[in-house]
Amino acid sequence: MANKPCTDTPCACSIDDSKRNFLTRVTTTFGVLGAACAALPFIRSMTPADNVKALATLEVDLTEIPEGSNKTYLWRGKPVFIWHRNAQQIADAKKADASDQLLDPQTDAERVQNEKYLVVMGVCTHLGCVPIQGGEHGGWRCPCHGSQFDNSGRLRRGPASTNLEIPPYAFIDDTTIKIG
Amino acid sequence: MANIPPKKVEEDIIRQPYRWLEDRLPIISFIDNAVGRGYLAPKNLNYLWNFGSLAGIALVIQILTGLFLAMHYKADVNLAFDSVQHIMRDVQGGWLIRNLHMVGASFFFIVVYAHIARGLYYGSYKKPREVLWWFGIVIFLIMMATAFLGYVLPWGQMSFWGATVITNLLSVIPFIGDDVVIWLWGGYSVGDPTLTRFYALHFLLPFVIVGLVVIHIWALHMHGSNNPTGIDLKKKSEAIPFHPYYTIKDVFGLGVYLIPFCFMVFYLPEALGHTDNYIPADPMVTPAHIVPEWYFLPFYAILRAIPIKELGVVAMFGSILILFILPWLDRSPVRSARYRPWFRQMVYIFIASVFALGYLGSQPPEGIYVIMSQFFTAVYFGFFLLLPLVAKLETPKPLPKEIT
Amino acid sequence: MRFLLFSFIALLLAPAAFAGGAVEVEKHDWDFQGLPKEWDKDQLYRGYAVATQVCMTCHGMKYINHRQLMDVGFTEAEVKAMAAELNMSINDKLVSGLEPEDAKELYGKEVPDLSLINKARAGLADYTYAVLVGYSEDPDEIHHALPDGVPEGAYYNRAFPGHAIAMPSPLTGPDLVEYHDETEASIEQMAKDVTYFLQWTAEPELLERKKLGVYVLLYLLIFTVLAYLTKRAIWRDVH
Repeated sequence: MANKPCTDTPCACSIDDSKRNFLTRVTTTFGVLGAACAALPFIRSMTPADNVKALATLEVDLTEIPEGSNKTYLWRGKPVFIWHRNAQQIADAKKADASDQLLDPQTDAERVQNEKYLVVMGVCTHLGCVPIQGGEHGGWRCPCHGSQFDNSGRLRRGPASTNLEIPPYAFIDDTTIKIG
Repeated sequence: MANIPPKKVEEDIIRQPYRWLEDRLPIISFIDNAVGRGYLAPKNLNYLWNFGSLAGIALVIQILTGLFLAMHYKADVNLAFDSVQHIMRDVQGGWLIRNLHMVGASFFFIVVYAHIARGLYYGSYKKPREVLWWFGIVIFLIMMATAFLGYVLPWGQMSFWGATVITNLLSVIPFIGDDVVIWLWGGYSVGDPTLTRFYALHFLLPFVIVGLVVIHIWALHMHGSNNPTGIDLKKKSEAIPFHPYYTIKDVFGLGVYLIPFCFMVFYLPEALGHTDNYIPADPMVTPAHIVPEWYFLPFYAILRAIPIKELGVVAMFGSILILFILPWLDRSPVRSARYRPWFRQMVYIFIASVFALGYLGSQPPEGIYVIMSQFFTAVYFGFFLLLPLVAKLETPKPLPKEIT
Repeated sequence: MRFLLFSFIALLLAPAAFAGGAVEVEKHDWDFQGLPKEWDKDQLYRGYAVATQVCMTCHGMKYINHRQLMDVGFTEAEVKAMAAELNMSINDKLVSGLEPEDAKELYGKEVPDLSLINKARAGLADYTYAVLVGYSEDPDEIHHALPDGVPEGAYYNRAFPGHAIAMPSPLTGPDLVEYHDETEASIEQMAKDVTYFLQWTAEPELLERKKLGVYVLLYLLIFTVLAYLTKRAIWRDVH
């Protein structure tokens, strides 16, 4: 039944057909493009809303963290550890730079902007649990599967495979950082 | 599918998987037979026949936009109003999706009203399409329920008082009315439980409509589309395949539809709404003029035209339910109003009365407006009640031999 | 074909016929009507000054915070300074210091939030402006509108439905606020500026919406013409 009723004018058919096919193709392409554009706002509506984005940066006053101790902040729904390290802890971290026990080798200098303050995500790089302070390397250990991190947040024992992540941050002044 | 062209390598890439699937689940040919090359439609359908497919598209637009709104909306009396503002302000492109949904509801009704009017004028409800007509009415009823439920969700003043007034209508049910209303509310007034269940139902009903639309189309396929002449097709040459003829015509119609629709979405999104609905719901203060959404106004006018509450409610529901027996009220053997001079005038008057009732429904129920509402309510029902008589007395014009 | 035409006209008339009536207020040409390119930052700033220094004594604008002003041309430093002046962070909602219960005691009714006021009253922006400049102490005018006198605790206002409003005139005299620019802070100017600001708080998406609409409609026009041509080509040999 797909035959077109054009038997009366067989000669006109081929010209008509090509014009028809061309127009059909143009309209279809144009329509599909439009539909694709129309899909964008729907996809975009699922990305973070403005009020969520507004909380995407966090300013932290570092003076509220006493030397030698560690404080946890919530940033983008995840914990961030900020550790105000004392001289001994900094020295330990630097000493380990050359150690062959680092599973994901990185120097301490690569991981801090100001060596007094270590800022790392409090999210184990294995499966996302929050590590707790302790372990054999002066840093953290993960309660879920036993990964261990040193006082530069570097991985010392698996099953995780990378160091604790460093969130993007910047010093606004000597005692304030802006995360995100 | 009868004559398979000589095998080519390129074609096999398409044809082989097609045959493989066809052998296991003939879904492609099913669709092709439903709305593709396999469905033969009269070749003389005019543009009023576009409203069927447009209604389908309007439904899809509502479901899609509704789904994405549902990802941000909160059905809680303390959060609902704010969550709508969250959609309008914070959600990326949220305002667009909400405007589409809001204006889309109005346009869905415009399309469906046109679709019903077309069926009325060309006698599409008549034998053998009565069940098709019935399912159309059921879809219309559920659509009205869905729209009503949806209007409650923004939890503005009109949402709240509209819900209060409409649910109170059910209290006229003898003996159990008051209990039914309390059951519906889940409390002693419209409140949090009401909002939450209305949201659940508002989400569900569109999918019920989808199911009913499938049945509607199934029934349509039993005897095919009616046509402007109202006569049955006699020759195969009077029919053309739905695809590509009516698909492209529907695509063109869609473009024509989307232009005013998008104009409203981008430039007059609130024109069909009510300012009071931007005031959060307040159970202590009723707005000065409660007016339902425009698409309910004709029925609202019928409700208010009759001074006895119970009778008003019966008349309002009756004004739609009477459509169910329309095929038996109108026993004329001729379908299309084209060949029925009296009926044709009656349809015009009937449609004019619906418009008049719509206008009256938006006016305060006082003085002349009440009397006019009563008059046009009489016209509305008079149309149906006169039909048996007209069918007997009217002399139809001669019918054409074949469709034109 | 006549029926087709009839239906088409009917469809066009339907929404117009069913639209409800609005309060009669004088109409103004606001520059957010039509197709403006962007919000007038200076006027927004002036309106913001009136809104925060006058309106916010009692009213809140809870859907608005200072950060959102960055969407209409204010820099981060500017909004931080503006917020600091109100002892707020840039993410704090603009809420009034007046507690709702105290407001109720003071005025006998709840004080409405202003974020959406330009969308929530018949007459829209024109109404907001009309109320702000609608106060009068002319005894003849008051007597004409309210023969029984102004009820206790209310004030005469010519734009307010019923003419007795619970809100005392907020713009009591000129120079109530100090503008950042040379504009003279007359009562009319302040009313105009704050109405402008409240239009933005009511519809922050307004300009984005109108801009996007142009492209969408342009696309649809082309698409519809293409679809029509294709339809004509395909239907050529039917009939």
